[in-house]
Amino acid sequence: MNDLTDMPELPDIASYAAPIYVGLIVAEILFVHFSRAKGSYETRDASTSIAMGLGNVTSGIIFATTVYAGIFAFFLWIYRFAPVKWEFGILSLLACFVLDDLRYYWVHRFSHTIRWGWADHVIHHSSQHFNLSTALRQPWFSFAKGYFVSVIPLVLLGFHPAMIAFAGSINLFYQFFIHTEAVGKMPKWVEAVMNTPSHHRVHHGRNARYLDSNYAGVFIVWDRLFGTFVEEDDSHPVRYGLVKNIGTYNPLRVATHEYVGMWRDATLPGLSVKQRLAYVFAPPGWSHDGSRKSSADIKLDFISRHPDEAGKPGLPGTISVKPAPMSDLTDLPSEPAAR
Amino acid sequence: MMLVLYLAGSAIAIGLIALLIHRLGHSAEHEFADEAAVRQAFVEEFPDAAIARVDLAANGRAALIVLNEGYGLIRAMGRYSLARQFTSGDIHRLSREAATLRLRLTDYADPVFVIDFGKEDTATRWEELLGSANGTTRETTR
Repeated sequence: MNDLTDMPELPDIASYAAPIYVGLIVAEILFVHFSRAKGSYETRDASTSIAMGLGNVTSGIIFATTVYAGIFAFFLWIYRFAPVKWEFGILSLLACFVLDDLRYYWVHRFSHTIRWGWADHVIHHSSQHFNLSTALRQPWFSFAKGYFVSVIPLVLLGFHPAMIAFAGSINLFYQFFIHTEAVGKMPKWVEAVMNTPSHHRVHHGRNARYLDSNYAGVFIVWDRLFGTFVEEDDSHPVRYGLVKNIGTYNPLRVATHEYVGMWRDATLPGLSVKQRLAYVFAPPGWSHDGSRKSSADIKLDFISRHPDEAGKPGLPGTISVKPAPMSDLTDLPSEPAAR
Repeated sequence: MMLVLYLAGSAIAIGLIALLIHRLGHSAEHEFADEAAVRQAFVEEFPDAAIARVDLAANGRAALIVLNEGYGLIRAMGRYSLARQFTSGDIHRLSREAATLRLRLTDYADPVFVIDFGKEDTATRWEELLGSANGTTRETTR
């Protein structure tokens, strides 16, 4: 026990997870190949995804004694001001886990709806495949976006930073298992409460109806509560990836492409300060001349082509006045946006 | 030292997984059967696109497209395809070697497009079309 904080030494789940991840990826590859299980692997895509995961862990190790130690020290300092301090135990850990999952929901939602966060998170969505290796396709410099400040309320509620970190690591470990097409739908009560492979497939979809939905980490109840839940519809198979997919397997380009795009946009000549800031903090797809489309635009565009789909899950009920130039069979966006 | 061992072990794991996937036959690139397949795939991505002409690569894995406004390209991205609309202003460098055209675009996330038409006159026509429309660097090797 640590005398200062009364916290036991908690295991670092990440250090145990790597061999489990590798073993299960191999198992899924074999399962998908030799059985009729749904799923797809492609050599370069999976290699890039795993390399991104390796870069993510390496970045964590490199910055462990500097950036992350500094952030942890900051949280410990904040913790001194917590009016109540919860001792480590099953109930306090459970409460911390649930509240941290609620925090994760909002941070994840902001990562999709603010380009600053999307520039980092887009990396995780940049594969056109959806399998266990996709779970490892993670950014390298997440600390730079500053979303760690979202932890402060939990610290002030009296949860020790180490307990929050432990709860967060369990959360991420859980999420690895929901990146698969090999599992269909779970029993109803599970689908009602938990984030499942089915719900997370929807989250990774680039179909208009599936954009910006199912942000949950572990408990899907947050999406149901805050109106972002969309059920997987078998009649509209999920198309994975980005509205504007990337054309590279180079890990460095994968890791930085949206930052580069954001920089190029924000430094275009002739823009006002407000427009420059909007290129960084407005929703992905915003543009000063209206030449690109955000998720909301894409959804409106889709129902203008398919008025009968208006109001269905994931789609707005209002039909755009824009004319529909031609019919399309899929529910893919009409043209690429910067997301 | 531990970091080096960790990185080496991880690199070996990635290599073995890649080898496994490859040996199981999952490295095959997407191929467009014909021009109609190109048109269908491109319009799925850009429903508003008005396609005037399609030139398909000899191996069926890429195509260049003349649109009523600008150009389009589509190519295999592993099992799937990747499509882009572009204008001459998006071309950073253009080069040709016999029947193969190489486009370097300003798109950081999709920087290089290579297409072997199998016919030198097709590559030449595209080189002239794209090269004359902007001030890109042109390199031609016969």
